[in-house]
Amino acid sequence: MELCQACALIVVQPLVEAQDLVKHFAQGGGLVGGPRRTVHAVDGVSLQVGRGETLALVGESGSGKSTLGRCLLRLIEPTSGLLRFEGVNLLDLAPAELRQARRRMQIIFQDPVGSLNPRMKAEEIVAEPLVIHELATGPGARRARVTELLARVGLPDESLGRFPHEFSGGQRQRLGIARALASGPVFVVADEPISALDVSIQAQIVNLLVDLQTQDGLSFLFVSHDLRVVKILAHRVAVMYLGRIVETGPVAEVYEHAAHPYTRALLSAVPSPDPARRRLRIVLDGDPPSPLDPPPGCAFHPRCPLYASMRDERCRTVRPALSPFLGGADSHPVACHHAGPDA
Amino acid sequence: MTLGQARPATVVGATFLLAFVLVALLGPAVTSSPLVQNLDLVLAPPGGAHWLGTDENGRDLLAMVFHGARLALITAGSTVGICFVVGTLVGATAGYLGGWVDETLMRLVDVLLSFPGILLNLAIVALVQRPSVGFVIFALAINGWVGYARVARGQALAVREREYVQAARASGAGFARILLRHVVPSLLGPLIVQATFGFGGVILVEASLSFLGLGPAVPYSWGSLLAQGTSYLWRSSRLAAVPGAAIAVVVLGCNLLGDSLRDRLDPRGRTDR
Repeated sequence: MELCQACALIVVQPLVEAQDLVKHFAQGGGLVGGPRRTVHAVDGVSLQVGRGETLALVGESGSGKSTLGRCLLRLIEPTSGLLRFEGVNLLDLAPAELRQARRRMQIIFQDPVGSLNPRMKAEEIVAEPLVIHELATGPGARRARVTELLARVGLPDESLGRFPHEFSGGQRQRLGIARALASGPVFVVADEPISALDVSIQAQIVNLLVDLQTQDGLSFLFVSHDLRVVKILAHRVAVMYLGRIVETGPVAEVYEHAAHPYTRALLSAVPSPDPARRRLRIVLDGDPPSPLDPPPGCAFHPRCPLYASMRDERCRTVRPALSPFLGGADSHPVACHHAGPDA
Repeated sequence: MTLGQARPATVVGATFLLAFVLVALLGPAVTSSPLVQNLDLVLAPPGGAHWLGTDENGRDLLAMVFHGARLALITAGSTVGICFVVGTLVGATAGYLGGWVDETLMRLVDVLLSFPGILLNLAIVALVQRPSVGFVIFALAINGWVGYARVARGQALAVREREYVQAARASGAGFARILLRHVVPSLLGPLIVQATFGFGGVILVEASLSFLGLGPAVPYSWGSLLAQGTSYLWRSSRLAAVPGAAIAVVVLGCNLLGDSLRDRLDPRGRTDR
């Protein structure tokens, strides 16, 4: 019930809204680069993130989820499409306006080593957004704010003068989170924030993110391939395959009534803590196809168990659109010609 | 790393350069004017008041070499300084921004590189009758910065993709802030190596220009001393040998130090141990 109210709110006023977002990277070309080819990293994605909502983006590596996350922040310039943040068209903003808007949207990176400048102290790292946006000015105020942020993510005061290499992996990720929170964002893209961490540390960071979500009411785009964590953190989930969303909906709905064969394969790979509830593993053959040359029709068909058994011509020729699929009590969008609970 | 662990080449290189800098800073203060002539005492052998003897005009050789050291330090220091700053900024900008900015700046670099370096320097100093020290520095810097630009660009291309640079962008940092706070500090290592070699290179080029009579219009620059000394090679070989040795010591010091700095930065390329 609570979830449905949240859904209603999202529809009324999404915080982040992307329509038909496309990002193509040109490869080769130029004077001696050989034939010019296009990488279809993000290939027409529409999504919305509501206030206080967490949308999880899941998929294999190379499915374009990180690129999509960065496009939403305009860290990567989308090739085409529409992008709104707090009702403002982000793609229309001039560079100076965009820098201003960045105060309200932030990113947490996967690699806690690479995302911190090794030559800067923790205090400088966390204070940088404050300096840029001229927040917490005045003597003492800035340090007080940095200390507060460090405490918020569970780092002691002594951290101020330390360099990144003097922290452990989990602490570095906390530092990255503190930096992301510094300017007071409402929307945070968390780009696989826990996949580079030890399992024992992952839980701590997940708990921290849940805290931020519930206490500060932040909206997250949570990019991940860990479906167990997604279940804990996210309200809604979008499954990406080769630059497109193939299934999306509330987490409970998608987890219980997965309709796309790819989603079901992903879910079947999640280890279950309950030995009585062992699911049938669906093992996919091969690697995801190259985004340089996506297969015609449904991009998933070369690996799809349904196509393997049915050999439906449509899968090879017609690209399925996202259309509502009635799984449980509610319907959610799925892009499959043969969507069904047990097809 | 303590001095005991340093390689001999590093110690020798550093010692040579340190000696050069000390002589350049203090030498002129402890010697007489290099321009005072004593025609009663031409081509005097070493000893007495003139430790290294006098030249054909009765000028004190030690004083001239010491003053020449200061001139060399000023010329090479300024040239390397200018080249370092200009090259780093141009290269880092090209590498970080990429696209047409990169293309434009790097084609300019290619154009300058397509001239044999010293030919361009020669052509420029030959434009004026008696080039001042400042003009020589200008002539040396005009194509000296391109090496730094290429090194900086290559590094910046890699640094641009680092996530901390992305994080700075995500925080709303502008171009200048990202370049100066995040990109340039990451480039400094290889550029300092480049500058160390470059310092020796500038000393050598400046000496060559002076040798040809196209250097700064100062009689005691090492290159001119060498050129004058060659006329008296048989009668008084030290007139050429001393400035020649001075040039060799400084250039060798730069190369030795540059080698060990490079090895320290990139242990894979280490040739010994």
